[in-house]
Amino acid sequence: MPSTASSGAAPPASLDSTLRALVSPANLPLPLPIVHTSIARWFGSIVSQGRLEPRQCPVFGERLIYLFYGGAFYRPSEFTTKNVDELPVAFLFEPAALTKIARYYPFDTGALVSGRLGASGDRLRPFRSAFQVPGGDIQTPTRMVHHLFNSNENYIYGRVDPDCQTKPSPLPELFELMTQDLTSKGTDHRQCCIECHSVDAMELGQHLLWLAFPENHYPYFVQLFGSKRWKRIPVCYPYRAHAIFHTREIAYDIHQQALRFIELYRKAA
Amino acid sequence: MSELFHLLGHDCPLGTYPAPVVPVGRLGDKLVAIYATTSGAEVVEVAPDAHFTLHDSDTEDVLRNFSHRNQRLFAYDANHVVAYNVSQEHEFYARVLSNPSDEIRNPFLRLALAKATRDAGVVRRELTDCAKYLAASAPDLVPSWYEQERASAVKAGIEDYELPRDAGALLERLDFAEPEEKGLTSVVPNVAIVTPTKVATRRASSKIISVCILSPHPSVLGEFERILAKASQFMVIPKQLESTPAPDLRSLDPPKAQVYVIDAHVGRQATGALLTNILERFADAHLIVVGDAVTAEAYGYSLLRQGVKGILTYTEAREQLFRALPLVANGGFWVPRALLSGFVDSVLTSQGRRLKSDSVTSLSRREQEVLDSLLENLSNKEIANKLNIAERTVKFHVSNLLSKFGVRRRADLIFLTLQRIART
Repeated sequence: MPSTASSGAAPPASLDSTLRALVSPANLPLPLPIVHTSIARWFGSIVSQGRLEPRQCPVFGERLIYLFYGGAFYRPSEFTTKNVDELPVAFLFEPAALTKIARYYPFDTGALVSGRLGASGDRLRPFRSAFQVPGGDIQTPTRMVHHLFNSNENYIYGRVDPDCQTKPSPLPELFELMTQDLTSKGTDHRQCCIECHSVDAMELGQHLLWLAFPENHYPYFVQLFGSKRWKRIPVCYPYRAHAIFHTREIAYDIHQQALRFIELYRKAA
Repeated sequence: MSELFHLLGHDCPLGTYPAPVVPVGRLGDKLVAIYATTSGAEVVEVAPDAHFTLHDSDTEDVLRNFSHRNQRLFAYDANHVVAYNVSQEHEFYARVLSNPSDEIRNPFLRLALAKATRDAGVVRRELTDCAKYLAASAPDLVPSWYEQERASAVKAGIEDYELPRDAGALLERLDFAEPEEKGLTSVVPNVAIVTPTKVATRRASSKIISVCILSPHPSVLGEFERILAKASQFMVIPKQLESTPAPDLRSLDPPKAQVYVIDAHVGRQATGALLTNILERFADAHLIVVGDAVTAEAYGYSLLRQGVKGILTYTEAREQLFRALPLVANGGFWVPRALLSGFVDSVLTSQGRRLKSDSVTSLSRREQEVLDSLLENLSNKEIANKLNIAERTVKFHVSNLLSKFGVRRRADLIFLTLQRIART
């Protein structure tokens, strides 16, 4: 059944209640790592603090850390206020860090607010309570993946489960959102992602598995992990920085590298 | 159409200078930023009120002919910005890295630029500096870092065989100066890593060095010439020796050069005669011996006693000669660590630990005392306690000693003195 939202007849049902009502199998997909992306200009201050600190979010009106489930879904800013553009840095945490997540959304809320998710995205507004899935349970995102994508592999490669079209609302609406052609909006792999919010600081020494940064910022990595303060040293991906490449190109490269790492992590798990 | 683009300034997303930067300017009535892409340049419109660094009139003047399609910008600071042609990026970065007046102190930025040159010699040199920095500040990170960098260099076009096989091989050479003397300071937040000591070394090493290669084999001469041709700082003078079983090298007339690289294949006695010959003619010559047996204990010690400053096997020479040469030309040593420590022990044993460096007569009493203490392997603090003077005064005397002996590192000062003692 096509979604009722596409006809605009009724507001979508709460995603959380729908997911709770659906039967979840015992063998849900394995939990995936979560990734926070920031900018190179702030890397030094993050390193000196040794943790990610929540920042005031104008959309939600509270201090939050934004992360994405299972990938580095960095979205270069369309218009900036302070600087022309920024180089990304990415922090990938092991699934154990999911206990820190307060809530999940089945899309990039920033992209939706800025109109980058097209007409289907606009129809999901107001989205804050309807699409919020409370966190606290490490299985929450795996249930979202199961019901929306059927498997981790489908989620990672952005393949929405066609069965969503016949499931209760709001899954058909989400299917429509995730399968519409958004290339004209400059939205690519970020079209299918699960956004995670943490209201608490996240210690880098605790669950960090992998990080990416411009290669000349390696001294910060040394400052973080050369002191033997933390037992486990994460894998790093220092990306090339002899010239300033377009952020979009770098972001895509980081996303691919993160996926490669997650793939290895999944195999090892 | 590049003539429509008017460069106004730049943005520095890396946050610190020196760094590659993003050109910002007007294209028609739009404010745009120009990004590098793997296939060229990409023009991106930015907000009219976007913040960026406006160039002053001098910089604007220098960059008047900037072409956003064919050129990129590199900034030493907000008002010292240079443009280079994308097609000549390799050469540009090779120049930046070798120019002492444009000193870039973050070793990891240097390595990033070195990879862009695709020159194995330059990459190896910068890899070594980064490895030294890491070995001094975070030794646990060295192996995984090197493995990753080696793979990345190979990916960037540096052939696998041109890089040492592991970080240990990269660092195995003589280098036992204390961190403060190696010029390494703590790194963040300003990412300034190398002190003027290091800068001075780099400046010295960028001068042209005349190198005479002496070998009976045309193929060896050819190979070393080829290796050294990769770096523009060497003026190579090949000299083919007689290939008879007992060549008369005592009466050979070698050309004058700063450094002599001697192929020890001519035999032990003939090599010894050649070394004596060169030192008699040119007392300030610096000698490097290359051969398969030269790192053996007895042979190595005898070479060191004769005044040789560099010892390498053929395999090592292929990888390290171009790095050993500037160091040896500046009074340093390039000797395998094991051979060196064995030699030091042998000198200490034979001298019964009475280490008076009589050969240097122009030392003050205090300098002599400090030197004797250095030979006992005491730290500055220990010397200060022993002589009842301030540590700062010890540093002053050590600095004078380095200057009088014409060396840059404490390790070289100790080794040079021991070598002189061994020879007398």
